[in-house]
Amino acid sequence: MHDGLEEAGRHLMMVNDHLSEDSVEQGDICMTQVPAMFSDDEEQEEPETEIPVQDDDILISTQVQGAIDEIDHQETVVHSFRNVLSKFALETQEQEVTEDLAPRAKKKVPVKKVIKPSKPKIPTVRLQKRIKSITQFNTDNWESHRVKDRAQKMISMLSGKSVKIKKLVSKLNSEATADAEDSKDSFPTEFATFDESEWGHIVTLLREKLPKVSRTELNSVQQYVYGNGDEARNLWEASQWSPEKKAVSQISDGESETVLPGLTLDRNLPVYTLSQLVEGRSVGGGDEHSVLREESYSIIEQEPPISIDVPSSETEIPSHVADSCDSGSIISFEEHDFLAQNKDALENYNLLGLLPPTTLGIPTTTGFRSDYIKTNNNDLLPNVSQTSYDIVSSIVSPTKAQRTGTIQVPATRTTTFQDQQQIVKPLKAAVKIYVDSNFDSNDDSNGPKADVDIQEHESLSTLTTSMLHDDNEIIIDSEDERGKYSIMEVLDVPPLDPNQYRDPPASPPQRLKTPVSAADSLDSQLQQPLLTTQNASPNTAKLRKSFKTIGLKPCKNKIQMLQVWETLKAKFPASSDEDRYLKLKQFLTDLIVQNRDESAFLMEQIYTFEPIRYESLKRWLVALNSFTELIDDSFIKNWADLNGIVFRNDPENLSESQTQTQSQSQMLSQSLSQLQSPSLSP
Amino acid sequence: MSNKPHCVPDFYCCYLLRSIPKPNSFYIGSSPDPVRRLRQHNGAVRRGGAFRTKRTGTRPWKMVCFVYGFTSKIAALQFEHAWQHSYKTRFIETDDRLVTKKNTRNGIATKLGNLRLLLRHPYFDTMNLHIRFFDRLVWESWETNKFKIDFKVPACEVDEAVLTDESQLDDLNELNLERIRAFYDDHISYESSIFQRYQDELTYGEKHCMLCDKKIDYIHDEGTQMVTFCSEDECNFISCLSCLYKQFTKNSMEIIPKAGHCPSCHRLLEWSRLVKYSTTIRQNLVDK
Repeated sequence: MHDGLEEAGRHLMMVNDHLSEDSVEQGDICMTQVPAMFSDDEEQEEPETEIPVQDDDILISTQVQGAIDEIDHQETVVHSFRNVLSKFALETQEQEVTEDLAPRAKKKVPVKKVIKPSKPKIPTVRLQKRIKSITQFNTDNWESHRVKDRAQKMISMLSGKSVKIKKLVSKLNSEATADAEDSKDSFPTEFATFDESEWGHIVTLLREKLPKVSRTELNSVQQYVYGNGDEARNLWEASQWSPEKKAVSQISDGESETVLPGLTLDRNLPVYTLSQLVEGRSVGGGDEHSVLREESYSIIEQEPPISIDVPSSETEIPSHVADSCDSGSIISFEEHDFLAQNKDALENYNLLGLLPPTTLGIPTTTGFRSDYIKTNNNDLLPNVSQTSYDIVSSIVSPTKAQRTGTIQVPATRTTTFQDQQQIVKPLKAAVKIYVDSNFDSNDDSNGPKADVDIQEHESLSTLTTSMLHDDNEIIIDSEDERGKYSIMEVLDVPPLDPNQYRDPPASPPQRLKTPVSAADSLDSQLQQPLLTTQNASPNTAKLRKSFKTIGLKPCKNKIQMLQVWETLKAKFPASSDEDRYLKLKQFLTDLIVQNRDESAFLMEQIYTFEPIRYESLKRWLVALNSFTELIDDSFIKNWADLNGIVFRNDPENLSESQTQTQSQSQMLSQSLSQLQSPSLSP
Repeated sequence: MSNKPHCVPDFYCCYLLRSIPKPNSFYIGSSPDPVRRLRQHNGAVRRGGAFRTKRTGTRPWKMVCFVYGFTSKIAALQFEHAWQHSYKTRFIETDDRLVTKKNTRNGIATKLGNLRLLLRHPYFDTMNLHIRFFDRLVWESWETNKFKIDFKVPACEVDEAVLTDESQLDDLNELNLERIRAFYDDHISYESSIFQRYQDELTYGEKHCMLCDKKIDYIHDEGTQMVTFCSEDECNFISCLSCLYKQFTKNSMEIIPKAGHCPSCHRLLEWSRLVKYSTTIRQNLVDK
């Protein structure tokens, strides 16, 4: 047997010499289909297993033939396995993927019989025709897959369409190249939240916590985060720079030639926020550091506080970063106890329950007026880098008084309660103005003690300190503050200079009588507002609410509302808005009932249930009494419904009615403006 | 804007339909001719009708009640809209609303409750509206007043035949239509007869206003002067409408009176009805 096999092997050797390339190509289909899957080494191995083509001239014994058959069988198994593998091997774009992953039917391939020496049969695991675990396959061929793109391979494994795969892969490659190109230029510095010093601290911490991490890796991470560019140029980081850097940049840009006088690098000046200072933190180094440690940003701990360079010649105390809402200058505090000069203000503080800022001084704005930059034309321009919030008197409006000793945190239209002393003066000035309008030198009844009884209505008699403003205009405060603050009793009104009085009005305001004649005009009916502190003007919000409840038209500004309110109170003296509402309804009814004869045609339309136009009724009511013009349209319509008056819409005359209402509103505003002008002008 | 003088319509009603196959389905509408309208809803008349009443399974419809006596078409449409949108109409106070949401399905009791609330409003109360029922169950529901609304409508009418009807579903729509037609025809004929009487009185003989003694020239008057009569057959009172208006509102602060006593026979006269006849006479003169 053994000799037979040796002889068979010799025969095979002889046959190999006769083997041609064509027969190999024709015979081995799997080789053509999967050229990349199998390397040349494998193809070279083929001749070992090749079985020579049966030639009629060669006689082979049955035993040899049996051996050859056995080997042939093994080869077929191997080839079938390779065929199955080839179905998954879509490694390159050139291959055509076969859709059928199922094990193919065994094709009859002319296999070249190669005689091998018989080997003892080793029980082998039956080769599976189907790959059941793709994971296992990938694990076994990880080296070959390593080179290839993972995404490409995944797509190829999941999809059976080669064209689609090609498109996807090409798209991915193009996107990848585009991203790679873009990422080269951009510096992801905008995501950086730490500066260099803070990053240094982070690095030290990392090194402590992760000793095995190499410096190169940390540097690579840093480069990845911050890039290789220059320092970050985003706004936040730029704001953290000291003014020195800004000044240097400005100088380098050629905006100015001169060197800032007295400019020294003083980084040891701590910087505090205004709220910290107001809360009473002492000026110094240790406390501030302890305060900062309490913050969550422990990175600041090892760094000196960010400071703004201040000319040391100007002041020796820390500077302050102005609040973003402030319109004042950079505040510097002086050791100055302004309250000691005014005991009354101190009492006010005690009354309000506030701590007087004894340790802090009044921020002044006098420290930085010399920070100017000289230009080529010898012009002085404010140094924005250092005194960006400084008030430049040359560009401040001359009408506004300089604000000294005021704190505005945050910036509001009104001053805070810490500065009540400043409020008293404008209050007096406000009183002064309003008293003038109603003052009659010959009449002792006029004056601060007006006819209006302020005690009658609590809702209208509160006047808070925050309602007054420097420009002497009463601003309504919120309703929640009702009762919280007391009226500023301005009893010590300075004697008024007779020369400052204006001419008294030609005729006193007329009181309205009901029924009103048609000759009465709105001007004579509207009373001028008696705006004194004792006559405490009502809250605007409450006025609007009252107007809505009663049924009056809303006014544009408070002065008009006050005028209407005064007129209404004089006309309908009632205790509540609901009573005024009923009285107003009765007023309209009386107006029509008492003047039925004046417009017989319209009355006939009404009592014959003829639908009339609302504008015609309104026009008639206004003609009867101009006060009707102040009544809201919805109120009139509601009143009309209750009295059975039917309205209709006339689309043809709708535009005409709109123009009429506009002209009426203009007339009303004009009349109100004429009334208010002599009383409010200073 | 038409120059035609205003005339109170002879008949204008706002009705409530109920589906016979679906008793919980209702429809609210208005029309000057309820008979024709009901036929349109039921498909007897080819043209007209409403989309909602054409839905399959809802026909035939039955007119269970209607409100009539509106002084103008606009007032009737306002009433219809308010009845349909009782959850937001201005004629029902917010505190009194029975329906607060839009798409809630309401039964007959809620419909009648809203009707009662609307009639209680002074705007519609001034018009002296009447209600007529054509369905026994609905009439009983109205009498029950489920929501206990404190307002008694002075004019509630129902046929005796309806009251004596013992069928559960209140019979077929045919019978309902017949009842409506009978009422409508009677009403129109009655109104026509009254108008004719007034016209005869004005045409023949010289008439003077019994309040201002002004001469009433019906022949040559071109509708500039409105005349009114006492609605009682036995009373011959005649006057200018404006004079009677002053008489009715002499001691009251009402802009539009609801009723008053005849200066002659002292019987209570509804103002809306007086205006109706007066405007009808005027329109007749203008048409001539």
